[in-house]
Amino acid sequence: MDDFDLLRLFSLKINDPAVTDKLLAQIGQLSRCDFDTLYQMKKRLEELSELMAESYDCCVKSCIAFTGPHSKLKACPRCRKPRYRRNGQPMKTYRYLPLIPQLVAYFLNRELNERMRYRSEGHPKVKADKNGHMTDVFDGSHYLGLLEKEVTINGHGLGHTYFSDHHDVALGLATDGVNPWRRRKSTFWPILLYNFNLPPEERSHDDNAICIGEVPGPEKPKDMDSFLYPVVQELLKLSVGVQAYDVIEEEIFILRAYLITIFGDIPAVSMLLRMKGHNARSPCRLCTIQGIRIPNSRTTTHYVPLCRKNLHTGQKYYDPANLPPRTHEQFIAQAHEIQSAETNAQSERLATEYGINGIPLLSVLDSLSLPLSTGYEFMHLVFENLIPNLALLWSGNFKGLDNNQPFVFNKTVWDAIGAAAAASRSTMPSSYGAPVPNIATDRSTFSAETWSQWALFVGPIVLNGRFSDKRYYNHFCDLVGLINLCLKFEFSKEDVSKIREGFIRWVKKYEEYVGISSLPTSTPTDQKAGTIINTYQTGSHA
Amino acid sequence: MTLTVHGLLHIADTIERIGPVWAWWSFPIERQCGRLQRHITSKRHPFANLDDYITLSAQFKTTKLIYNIADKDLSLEGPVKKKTGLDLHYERKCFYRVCKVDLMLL
Repeated sequence: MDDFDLLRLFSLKINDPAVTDKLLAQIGQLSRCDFDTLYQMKKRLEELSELMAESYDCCVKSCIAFTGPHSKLKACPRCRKPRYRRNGQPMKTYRYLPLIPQLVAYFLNRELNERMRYRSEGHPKVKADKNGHMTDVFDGSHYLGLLEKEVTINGHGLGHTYFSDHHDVALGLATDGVNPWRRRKSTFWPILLYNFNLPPEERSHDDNAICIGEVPGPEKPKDMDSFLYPVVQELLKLSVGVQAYDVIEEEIFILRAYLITIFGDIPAVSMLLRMKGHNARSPCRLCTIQGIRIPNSRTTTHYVPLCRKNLHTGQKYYDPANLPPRTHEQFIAQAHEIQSAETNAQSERLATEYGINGIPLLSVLDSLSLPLSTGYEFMHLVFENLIPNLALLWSGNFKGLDNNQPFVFNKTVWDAIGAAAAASRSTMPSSYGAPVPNIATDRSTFSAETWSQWALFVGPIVLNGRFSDKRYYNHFCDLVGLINLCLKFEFSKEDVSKIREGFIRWVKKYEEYVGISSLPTSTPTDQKAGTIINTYQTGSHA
Repeated sequence: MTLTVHGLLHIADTIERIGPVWAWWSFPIERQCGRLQRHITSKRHPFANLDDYITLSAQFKTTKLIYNIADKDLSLEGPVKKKTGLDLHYERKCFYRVCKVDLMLL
């Protein structure tokens, strides 16, 4: 058995969850493998890949990882659970796969090395420069701004500008909470990096996503920064530069990589940015709009209507075209103010006012402009929140809203709409995507994909002529038009202004039709202001 | 009005700042998470099990990259492959010597 056979053996396990470790060892035995145990086989793979996993101890309840400033602690600072067992073994570990060897490997591969030139050579820049044409992340103002900026670490210039070398890698960081079981409340948080240097059609392939580790469940991490500590350290090293070998040019070069964006759903990004999240008094990540609570209600959710005429205090109206923006400088200044507040109470008060819990570790990376390098992620925003909420609204299942609204369907009408759409399943060409279930009875089986199918293809047909007032139907069709516009591969300047104006009009009408009280959201995230960020900041440069 | 509806007002700005919607949406992440989730086979130590899988697949991928091995070379379909008897790691060391790259630096 040679190394190729070993790799063939492992490819079985990697592609098929049904191949367990035990089965793999048995196949090894059967094929007269040179390795006695699975452990030896895994060791050989580790040797071949030159990629060594690093283990960090973490809190048994996954609150924090004992990295950086926490590395000497004996117990979790959040839940006070001990770090070690009686026999000196750690209670739980967090495994981290170093990023640098994984990136270096890309340049040792002929095929991928060539494809990674998409950023510097393949991407149609000329077209972009002319009229603000938007074809990729490289046309965004954030990336274009970086091109003229000197790379700095903690205020010290490093003498080179961002992406000045064609090898430089643009990365995007993403995370999401995943529940491994359907019936239990338990989440793990994989940390993924996407390589934007690859052409768009390949960068999202499963093989090209770099998974650097997973925050073990079942609990949600309380201090995500401590889990990001090793990767931020590596990213700082990468902005200075590490040695690598280019297999095509046959020379050693300095490899640099920069994180340019963070993405994920609202709670995930709030956690990465140490923000309060979607139910806070200052809930929006991109503007400083103040949320209001429903008067005389016990719910703690804050809503963000544009018009607050009935309220006695605060701003009466927010202009949707001119929302008060957050800026990077302001965000960092506010975070500093919170951390340097004299008393805990004062820091809590500021945290509530600004919607920020503290300085996020990611702010040490100068290539990010927090919170502006993030966006409201489209899939969750539209297909998992907006459309399902509209369906709740129409069917009158909407918490806290009475059923006498003019846009609410009678139950028989709603059932008929669901049945009509479900009947189309057998005649819908499969190239359109997964068939859409009955919206009236099987709403729980909908996924982002089926919601989008329903909204884009089914909804406009089955809702036609059903509303008591035609304006509600037109309003929905406006939304479908706008979503279709957002799904384009390339955007011209006109498209972007159409999207901007279209959504402003749509949201204004929504407020007019639905009124001030509106969709309740999920449970508020439980996060408290931390006090250790200053040590992080000094620690990561040491 | 909830944050969901409010978020729509920021879509155009985000497109201008970080590019087209498809470049930063979650579909690839969700698919990746689904793949990881399917590979949890242990009910007793699910997260250690998952860590093993993540480590294994990252090491497997890196090996494929640095030795320029295509998926078809590893395919188990078709005629039985002849043994190459190749010691990849030895080859690698020779390669480093030729390129004069310090193994410790990489």
